[in-house]
Amino acid sequence: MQISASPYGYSSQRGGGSGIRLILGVVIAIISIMSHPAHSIL
Amino acid sequence: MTGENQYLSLTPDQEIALGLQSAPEMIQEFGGLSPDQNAQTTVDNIGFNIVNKSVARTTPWQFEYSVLADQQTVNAFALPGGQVFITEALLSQLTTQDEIAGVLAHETIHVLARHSAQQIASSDLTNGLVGAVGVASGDASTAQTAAVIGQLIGLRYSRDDETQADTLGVCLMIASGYNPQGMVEVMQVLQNASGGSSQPEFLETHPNPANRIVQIQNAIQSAPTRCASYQG
Repeated sequence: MQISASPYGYSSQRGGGSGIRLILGVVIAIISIMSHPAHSIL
Repeated sequence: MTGENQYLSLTPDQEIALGLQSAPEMIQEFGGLSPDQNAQTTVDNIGFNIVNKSVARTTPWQFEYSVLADQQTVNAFALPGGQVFITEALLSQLTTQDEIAGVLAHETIHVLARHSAQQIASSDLTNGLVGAVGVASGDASTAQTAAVIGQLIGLRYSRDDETQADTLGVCLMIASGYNPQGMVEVMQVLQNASGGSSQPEFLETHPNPANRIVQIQNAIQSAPTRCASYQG
Protein backbone atom coordinates (compact mmCIF):
# COMPACT_ATOMS: atom_id res chain seq x y z
CA MET A 1 0.00 0.00 0.00
CA GLN A 2 1.43 3.36 -1.05
CA ILE A 3 0.05 6.66 0.30
CA SER A 4 0.98 9.91 -1.39
CA ALA A 5 0.06 13.57 -1.08
CA SER A 6 -1.46 15.34 -4.06
CA PRO A 7 -2.90 18.82 -4.63
CA TYR A 8 -6.31 17.19 -4.25
CA GLY A 9 -5.61 15.57 -0.89
CA TYR A 10 -4.19 12.18 0.04
CA SER A 11 -4.60 9.25 -2.26
CA SER A 12 -3.73 5.62 -1.81
CA GLN A 13 -2.52 3.20 -4.44
CA ARG A 14 -1.96 -0.54 -4.41
CA GLY A 15 0.58 -1.97 -6.82
CA GLY A 16 0.93 1.44 -8.44
CA GLY A 17 3.99 0.36 -10.42
CA SER A 18 2.08 -2.06 -12.63
CA GLY A 19 1.15 0.61 -15.21
CA ILE A 20 4.72 1.85 -15.36
CA ARG A 21 5.99 -1.74 -15.65
CA LEU A 22 3.59 -2.31 -18.52
CA ILE A 23 4.82 0.82 -20.33
CA LEU A 24 8.41 -0.21 -19.57
CA GLY A 25 7.76 -3.66 -21.00
CA VAL A 26 6.31 -2.15 -24.17
CA VAL A 27 9.31 0.20 -24.52
CA ILE A 28 11.73 -2.69 -24.08
CA ALA A 29 9.79 -4.75 -26.62
CA ILE A 30 9.90 -1.85 -29.12
CA ILE A 31 13.64 -1.37 -28.56
CA SER A 32 14.13 -5.12 -29.03
CA ILE A 33 12.16 -5.11 -32.28
CA MET A 34 13.93 -1.98 -33.54
CA SER A 35 17.36 -3.44 -32.80
CA HIS A 36 16.53 -6.68 -34.63
CA PRO A 37 17.00 -8.41 -36.85
CA ALA A 38 19.71 -6.46 -38.73
CA HIS A 39 23.37 -6.26 -37.72
CA SER A 40 25.46 -3.38 -39.04
CA ILE A 41 29.20 -2.87 -39.32
CA LEU A 42 29.17 0.59 -37.67
CA MET B 1 29.86 -22.83 -36.23
CA THR B 2 31.65 -20.49 -33.81
CA GLY B 3 32.51 -23.18 -31.28
CA GLU B 4 30.08 -21.75 -28.72
CA ASN B 5 26.86 -23.26 -27.39
CA GLN B 6 23.82 -21.33 -28.61
CA TYR B 7 20.26 -21.27 -27.26
CA LEU B 8 18.07 -20.30 -30.19
CA SER B 9 14.32 -20.05 -30.58
CA LEU B 10 14.31 -19.79 -34.42
CA THR B 11 14.88 -22.61 -36.91
CA PRO B 12 17.10 -21.93 -39.96
CA ASP B 13 13.98 -21.80 -42.18
CA GLN B 14 12.40 -19.24 -39.85
CA GLU B 15 15.59 -17.15 -39.92
CA ILE B 16 15.67 -17.19 -43.71
CA ALA B 17 11.99 -16.23 -43.84
CA LEU B 18 12.55 -13.41 -41.32
CA GLY B 19 15.43 -12.03 -43.38
CA LEU B 20 13.49 -12.19 -46.65
CA GLN B 21 10.51 -10.55 -44.95
CA SER B 22 12.65 -7.72 -43.52
CA ALA B 23 14.67 -7.09 -46.70
CA PRO B 24 12.16 -4.87 -48.59
CA GLU B 25 11.82 -2.58 -45.58
CA MET B 26 15.57 -2.27 -45.24
CA ILE B 27 15.98 -1.60 -48.97
CA GLN B 28 13.32 1.10 -48.82
CA GLU B 29 14.85 2.69 -45.71
CA PHE B 30 18.19 3.14 -47.49
CA GLY B 31 16.98 4.60 -50.77
CA GLY B 32 16.25 1.41 -52.71
CA LEU B 33 18.70 -0.80 -54.55
CA SER B 34 21.60 0.95 -56.23
CA PRO B 35 21.20 1.55 -59.97
CA ASP B 36 25.01 1.22 -60.31
CA GLN B 37 25.33 -2.17 -62.03
CA ASN B 38 29.14 -2.11 -61.89
CA ALA B 39 29.05 -1.71 -58.13
CA GLN B 40 26.49 -4.49 -57.78
CA THR B 41 28.55 -6.83 -59.99
CA THR B 42 31.68 -6.16 -57.93
CA VAL B 43 29.83 -6.90 -54.70
CA ASP B 44 28.20 -10.00 -56.23
CA ASN B 45 31.57 -11.38 -57.27
CA ILE B 46 33.28 -10.77 -53.94
CA GLY B 47 30.28 -12.15 -52.02
CA PHE B 48 30.27 -15.22 -54.29
CA ASN B 49 33.98 -15.82 -53.57
CA ILE B 50 33.52 -15.48 -49.82
CA VAL B 51 30.68 -17.99 -49.76
CA ASN B 52 31.98 -20.51 -52.28
CA LYS B 53 35.58 -20.65 -51.11
CA SER B 54 34.80 -20.92 -47.40
CA VAL B 55 32.80 -23.00 -44.94
CA ALA B 56 29.77 -20.81 -45.77
CA ARG B 57 29.29 -22.99 -48.88
CA THR B 58 28.23 -25.92 -46.71
CA THR B 59 25.59 -24.05 -44.68
CA PRO B 60 21.83 -23.72 -45.32
CA TRP B 61 21.89 -19.90 -45.53
CA GLN B 62 20.77 -18.24 -48.77
CA PHE B 63 23.37 -15.54 -49.27
CA GLU B 64 22.57 -12.51 -51.39
CA TYR B 65 24.74 -9.37 -51.46
CA SER B 66 23.09 -6.09 -52.47
CA VAL B 67 24.21 -2.48 -52.86
CA LEU B 68 21.84 0.12 -51.38
CA ALA B 69 21.46 3.48 -53.12
CA ASP B 70 21.97 5.52 -49.92
CA GLN B 71 24.87 7.93 -50.53
CA GLN B 72 24.85 9.47 -47.04
CA THR B 73 24.86 6.53 -44.62
CA VAL B 74 28.25 4.84 -44.32
CA ASN B 75 27.26 1.35 -43.24
CA ALA B 76 26.60 -2.28 -44.14
CA PHE B 77 23.99 -4.67 -42.77
CA ALA B 78 23.16 -8.35 -42.45
CA LEU B 79 19.72 -9.81 -41.99
CA PRO B 80 19.23 -13.33 -40.64
CA GLY B 81 19.28 -16.07 -43.24
CA GLY B 82 21.79 -14.48 -45.65
CA GLN B 83 20.62 -11.07 -46.89
CA VAL B 84 23.66 -8.73 -46.83
CA PHE B 85 23.67 -5.04 -47.78
CA ILE B 86 26.30 -2.35 -48.27
CA THR B 87 25.47 1.29 -48.91
CA GLU B 88 26.87 3.26 -51.84
CA ALA B 89 28.24 5.72 -49.27
CA LEU B 90 30.45 3.04 -47.68
CA LEU B 91 31.32 1.38 -50.99
CA SER B 92 32.50 4.73 -52.40
CA GLN B 93 35.04 5.01 -49.57
CA LEU B 94 36.55 1.56 -50.14
CA THR B 95 39.43 1.50 -52.58
CA THR B 96 40.36 -2.19 -52.86
CA GLN B 97 38.60 -5.54 -53.27
CA ASP B 98 40.19 -6.61 -49.96
CA GLU B 99 38.40 -3.77 -48.17
CA ILE B 100 35.05 -4.66 -49.76
CA ALA B 101 35.70 -8.31 -48.83
CA GLY B 102 36.39 -7.15 -45.25
CA VAL B 103 32.94 -5.57 -45.00
CA LEU B 104 31.14 -8.50 -46.64
CA ALA B 105 33.05 -11.09 -44.57
CA HIS B 106 32.09 -9.26 -41.36
CA GLU B 107 28.41 -9.31 -42.35
CA THR B 108 28.61 -12.92 -43.54
CA ILE B 109 29.82 -13.99 -40.09
CA HIS B 110 26.77 -12.33 -38.50
CA VAL B 111 24.66 -14.68 -40.66
CA LEU B 112 26.79 -17.80 -40.10
CA ALA B 113 27.01 -17.23 -36.34
CA ARG B 114 23.25 -16.63 -36.19
CA HIS B 115 23.75 -13.47 -34.16
CA SER B 116 20.23 -12.16 -34.84
CA ALA B 117 18.55 -15.35 -33.66
CA GLN B 118 20.83 -15.37 -30.64
CA GLN B 119 19.93 -11.76 -29.77
CA ILE B 120 16.23 -12.46 -30.18
CA ALA B 121 16.57 -15.42 -27.81
CA SER B 122 18.59 -13.41 -25.27
CA SER B 123 16.24 -10.38 -25.40
CA ASP B 124 13.31 -12.76 -24.76
CA LEU B 125 15.22 -13.99 -21.72
CA THR B 126 16.09 -10.44 -20.59
CA ASN B 127 12.49 -9.26 -20.97
CA GLY B 128 11.32 -12.26 -18.95
CA LEU B 129 13.82 -11.51 -16.19
CA VAL B 130 12.87 -7.81 -16.10
CA GLY B 131 9.20 -8.74 -15.83
CA ALA B 132 9.98 -11.23 -13.08
CA VAL B 133 11.98 -8.64 -11.12
CA GLY B 134 9.11 -6.15 -11.46
CA VAL B 135 6.48 -8.63 -10.34
CA ALA B 136 8.61 -9.98 -7.48
CA SER B 137 9.51 -6.54 -6.12
CA GLY B 138 6.22 -4.80 -6.87
CA ASP B 139 8.38 -1.73 -7.32
CA ALA B 140 8.54 0.19 -10.59
CA SER B 141 11.96 1.72 -9.89
CA THR B 142 13.44 -1.74 -9.27
CA ALA B 143 11.94 -2.96 -12.54
CA GLN B 144 13.31 0.14 -14.29
CA THR B 145 16.80 -0.48 -12.90
CA ALA B 146 16.55 -4.12 -14.03
CA ALA B 147 15.50 -2.92 -17.49
CA VAL B 148 18.52 -0.60 -17.77
CA ILE B 149 20.84 -3.40 -16.65
CA GLY B 150 19.13 -5.66 -19.19
CA GLN B 151 19.81 -3.16 -21.96
CA LEU B 152 23.46 -2.82 -20.92
CA ILE B 153 23.79 -6.62 -20.99
CA GLY B 154 22.23 -6.50 -24.47
CA LEU B 155 24.82 -3.95 -25.59
CA ARG B 156 27.58 -6.15 -24.22
CA TYR B 157 26.25 -9.10 -26.24
CA SER B 158 26.08 -6.81 -29.25
CA ARG B 159 29.72 -5.72 -28.89
CA ASP B 160 30.80 -9.35 -28.46
CA ASP B 161 28.95 -10.20 -31.70
CA GLU B 162 30.76 -7.40 -33.52
CA THR B 163 34.14 -8.54 -32.24
CA GLN B 164 33.35 -12.09 -33.35
CA ALA B 165 32.24 -10.83 -36.79
CA ASP B 166 35.56 -8.98 -37.11
CA THR B 167 37.83 -11.78 -35.91
CA LEU B 168 36.04 -14.65 -37.70
CA GLY B 169 35.58 -12.39 -40.73
CA VAL B 170 39.38 -12.46 -40.96
CA CYS B 171 39.13 -16.27 -41.31
CA LEU B 172 36.59 -16.00 -44.13
CA MET B 173 38.78 -13.46 -45.94
CA ILE B 174 41.81 -15.75 -45.76
CA ALA B 175 39.75 -18.78 -46.84
CA SER B 176 38.46 -16.91 -49.88
CA GLY B 177 41.85 -15.52 -50.91
CA TYR B 178 41.59 -11.91 -49.74
CA ASN B 179 44.18 -10.01 -47.71
CA PRO B 180 42.75 -9.66 -44.17
CA GLN B 181 44.60 -6.38 -43.78
CA GLY B 182 41.64 -5.04 -45.78
CA MET B 183 39.52 -5.42 -42.63
CA VAL B 184 41.92 -3.13 -40.72
CA GLU B 185 41.65 -0.56 -43.50
CA VAL B 186 37.84 -0.76 -43.30
CA MET B 187 38.00 0.13 -39.60
CA GLN B 188 40.13 3.15 -40.42
CA VAL B 189 37.47 4.23 -42.95
CA LEU B 190 34.72 3.70 -40.35
CA GLN B 191 36.75 5.57 -37.72
CA ASN B 192 36.98 8.57 -40.02
CA ALA B 193 33.30 8.28 -40.99
CA SER B 194 32.08 8.15 -37.38
CA GLY B 195 34.12 11.23 -36.43
CA GLY B 196 34.94 9.78 -33.02
CA SER B 197 32.61 8.38 -30.39
CA SER B 198 30.71 10.80 -28.18
CA GLN B 199 30.02 8.33 -25.37
CA PRO B 200 31.92 5.60 -23.52
CA GLU B 201 32.28 2.23 -25.23
CA PHE B 202 30.12 0.39 -22.66
CA LEU B 203 27.11 2.40 -23.86
CA GLU B 204 27.78 1.63 -27.54
CA THR B 205 26.47 -1.24 -29.66
CA HIS B 206 29.88 -1.58 -31.35
CA PRO B 207 33.40 -1.62 -29.91
CA ASN B 208 35.48 1.50 -30.40
CA PRO B 209 37.08 1.39 -33.91
CA ALA B 210 40.57 1.80 -32.43
CA ASN B 211 39.98 -1.27 -30.22
CA ARG B 212 38.59 -3.14 -33.21
CA ILE B 213 41.77 -2.46 -35.18
CA VAL B 214 43.91 -3.96 -32.39
CA GLN B 215 41.63 -7.02 -32.13
CA ILE B 216 41.67 -7.56 -35.90
CA GLN B 217 45.47 -7.31 -36.00
CA ASN B 218 45.65 -9.90 -33.22
CA ALA B 219 43.15 -12.07 -35.14
CA ILE B 220 45.34 -11.90 -38.27
CA GLN B 221 48.39 -13.00 -36.27
CA SER B 222 46.53 -15.94 -34.69
CA ALA B 223 44.74 -16.93 -37.92
CA PRO B 224 47.04 -19.87 -38.83
CA THR B 225 46.05 -21.72 -35.65
CA ARG B 226 42.46 -20.45 -35.46
CA CYS B 227 40.99 -20.40 -38.96
CA ALA B 228 41.53 -23.91 -40.37
CA SER B 229 37.86 -24.89 -40.01
CA TYR B 230 36.73 -21.93 -42.11
CA GLN B 231 38.28 -23.21 -45.33
CA GLY B 232 35.81 -24.28 -48.02
